[in-house]
Amino acid sequence: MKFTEKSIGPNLIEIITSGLYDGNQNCLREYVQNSIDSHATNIDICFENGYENLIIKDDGSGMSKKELMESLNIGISHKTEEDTGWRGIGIWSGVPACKRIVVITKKKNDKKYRIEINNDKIRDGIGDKEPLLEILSSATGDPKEMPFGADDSFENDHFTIVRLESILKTQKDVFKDKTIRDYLVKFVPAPFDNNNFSFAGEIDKWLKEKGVKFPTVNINFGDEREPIFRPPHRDDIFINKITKQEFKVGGKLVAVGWALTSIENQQLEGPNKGIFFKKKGYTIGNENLVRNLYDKTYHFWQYGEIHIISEAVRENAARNNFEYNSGVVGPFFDEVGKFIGSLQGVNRVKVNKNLEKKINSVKGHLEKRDVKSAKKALDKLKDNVCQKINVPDDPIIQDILPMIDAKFETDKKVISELEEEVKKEPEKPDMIKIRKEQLNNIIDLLPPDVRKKCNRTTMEGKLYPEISVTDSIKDILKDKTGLAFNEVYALSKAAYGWDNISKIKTSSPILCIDKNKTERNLRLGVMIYTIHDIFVNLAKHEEGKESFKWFENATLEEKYELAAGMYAIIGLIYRLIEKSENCQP
Amino acid sequence: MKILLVEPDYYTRYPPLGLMKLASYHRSQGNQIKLVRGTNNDINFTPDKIEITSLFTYAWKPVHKAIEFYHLLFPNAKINVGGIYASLMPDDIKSAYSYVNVNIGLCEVAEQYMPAYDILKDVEKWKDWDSSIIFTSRGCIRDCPFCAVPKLEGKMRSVITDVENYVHCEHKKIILWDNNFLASPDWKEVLKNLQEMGLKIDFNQGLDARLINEEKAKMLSGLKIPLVRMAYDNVDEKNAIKNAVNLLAEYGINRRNILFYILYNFYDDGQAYGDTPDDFLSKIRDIQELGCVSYPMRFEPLISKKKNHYISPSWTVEKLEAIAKARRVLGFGGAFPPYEGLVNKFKKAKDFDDAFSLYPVKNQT
Repeated sequence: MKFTEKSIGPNLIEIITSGLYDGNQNCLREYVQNSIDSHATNIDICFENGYENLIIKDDGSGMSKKELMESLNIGISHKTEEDTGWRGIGIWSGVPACKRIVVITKKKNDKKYRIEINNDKIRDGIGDKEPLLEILSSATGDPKEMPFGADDSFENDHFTIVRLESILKTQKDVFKDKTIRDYLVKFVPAPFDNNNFSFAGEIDKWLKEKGVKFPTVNINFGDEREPIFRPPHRDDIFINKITKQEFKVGGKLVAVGWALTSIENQQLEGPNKGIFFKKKGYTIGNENLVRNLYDKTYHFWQYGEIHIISEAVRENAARNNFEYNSGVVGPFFDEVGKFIGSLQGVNRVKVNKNLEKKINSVKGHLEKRDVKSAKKALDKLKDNVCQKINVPDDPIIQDILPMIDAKFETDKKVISELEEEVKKEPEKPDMIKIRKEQLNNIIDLLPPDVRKKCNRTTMEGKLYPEISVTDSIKDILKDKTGLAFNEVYALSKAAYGWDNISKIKTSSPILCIDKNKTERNLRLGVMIYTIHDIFVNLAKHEEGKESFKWFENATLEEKYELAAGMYAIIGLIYRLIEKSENCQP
Repeated sequence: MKILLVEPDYYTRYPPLGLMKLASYHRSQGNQIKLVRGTNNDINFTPDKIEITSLFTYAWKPVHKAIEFYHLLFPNAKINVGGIYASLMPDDIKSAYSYVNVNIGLCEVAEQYMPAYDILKDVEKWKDWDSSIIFTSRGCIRDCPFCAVPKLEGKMRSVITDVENYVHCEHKKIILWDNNFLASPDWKEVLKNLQEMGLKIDFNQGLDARLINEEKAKMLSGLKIPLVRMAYDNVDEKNAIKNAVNLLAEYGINRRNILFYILYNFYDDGQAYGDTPDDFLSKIRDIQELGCVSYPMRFEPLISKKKNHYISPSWTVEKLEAIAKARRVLGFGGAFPPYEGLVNKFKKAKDFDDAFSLYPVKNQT
């Protein structure tokens, strides 16, 4: 069958661009690849004009006019499999993300060229079902020679700049600082952060010895050119032992992997979790690709990398999985599954031997001088220590076991120290009981009307005076001023926030506590409104809730103590209002 | 290449949109850019090219000053001057500065770009700017003799409909600079998109009252428009204006939030006809009767080099000054809102002089 222009539909572009990737930020990997394949040593990625444009700039060899035109070919590439972006999709991958793709490039001793792809035209063309070649031709301008400025050098300058201009509104959730940084960290061949990851040297050396090819390129992100490092970004969460594994199929080395196991028993978080397949430094798939090769319950207890060495293990075009057709991938995956099984086994042993969390809980109780709870927790801990643990005869587990056991021994020592400490600590009096009594004593001193309202509630209810007794203030305010509650409320609102005090200054206070002392009247009046408002509206104001966080989070003992103070204030206010004169004209 | 973008130091309430679009255009060309306002010595940047904008013709002085200043500072840089003054009076610049290139009208290549709002952060006056300025259309269907739009922009055409892609991520307000938005062939699609976004909108150049119908009033009422601006240029438009206000009010727009620009002091030499002070008073009365705000707009010829200089044959200096004074004393922010006292004063006045005369208030009650 003879193909004509008409037998290729415009949907091909969609298949190539958005259809190929899970998310549109994947185009970044294509651009990073192109940069690395052009032997860049530095790649700078940043947003411009807020999140409007995304710029990828490299110091690679750049392109001649001919090469720039060839870079627009689809599915044809002059790169070999040695390079990474060999399927020739490169430049077009940004089409679904933005309005325009601009490439500006320059080789040493060559002119500077610019090409622009108008993605809106492609989208419109697809919508109008125009022939593919027509769409591409109308959407893509010819390479244009760009003028030089005084600072530009014909001889020395070499670079390629890819500009994704006017990122579409629909893409804005993905094209943000954090998502782009997270993406780069996870998927591009960045180096380790030697300052924060002390295992870096040993891992790099081992990977190199085993023949893993990894590009050496600095990738920087943002206006501050913050370097991108691949995870893990810290080492203090891992047991001090790198598990290394060679994966062989039919006696031939296919891949090498390494993993670090977490100290804690809980799952790892953020960029520091998961085991990833890597090829030439690029991540294939995500943490779930490896996870799915293990058919039992999986926990994110490790960080690790499995670097593919063999050419027989080929990734698919979307790079989210491998092609199974070589006969190598199946057995290789079985090996990986076994490796993951062993690693998960390490943690199953560790769960029973790592007592740190429980020790911390004992320490916490002791800090709060809660000897009773500390004793309880300690008894449980001792049970854990005596428990019999079966350790499988797996070389990976056996390899890491000494580290776990060493920690187990130190933990045991800590436990016996804690036991001594608990013994020394006297049990202290029941403070809650004491505070309850103090609270009841204060309630007894309150004016009868208020007291009546208090005593209608349970002891638990007494913790919330703002609910149980402020009604009595409301009532007496009404009696004294003749104002409806909403009027009092308005005054209260005006006074709430001491900066608004001047608003009341203009007229005489509504309650006169002492006829001869206006200033005092004023201050006490404001205090009454303010305190009343705090009590009445405590639960209503979002901001109020926020500022009362310390109050909400107080211990029970503290809560009784605070409630006692609140009752004392309510009592004082009630009396002030009761004894005041109404000085309204 | 390095490009310096210069906004001369004239009075304005809006940042230089043209320069911001040029900034995006130049960035797209791979050039480095920098924006400055006024004459600024503190530029650690040697430009290959300088682009200077301009605004109203009467604000020509700061433009000339900028040209001279930057030519002296960077004698090797090419200088381009564009904007309204440059487009209306190119020879005024060319004859004074032979080394300057004047760009007339719109810079079409830069039109499609999202303005580079980020560069405003470098300019003290604009560092807190928080609105996206958008033209969804250019030109106008009308050819009013007092207006520069037909000369600058020509015939009406729609430029964009996907407004959402032209709103900067940090902005919460949209300012449309369309000259006659409702006459745009794509007004409906744009209104729909604006409604979906739910941001505050200012139809800054005013809506054409003559084009408001039931459908448009309904759609406009669904937007967050704090102030609806329209114009009352000619007394003939009275019925159209009444109809527009009543429709908008019917759909829930507060009459007090409708403002009319009232043209005065205009004289069309070709037709040998111009508005009179009595026309002005009756226009103000009409607007007040409708419960809306009037904002007087004094006509100035398109190529005037001095503000508030022109006096139409139908007006006198005294009468023009009376309006200026009344705006300061009786008005609010230069406008005449429908305050009861003010409405009565204008209503009861025997003539223009009586309406705009200021006498001491005897009795406050």
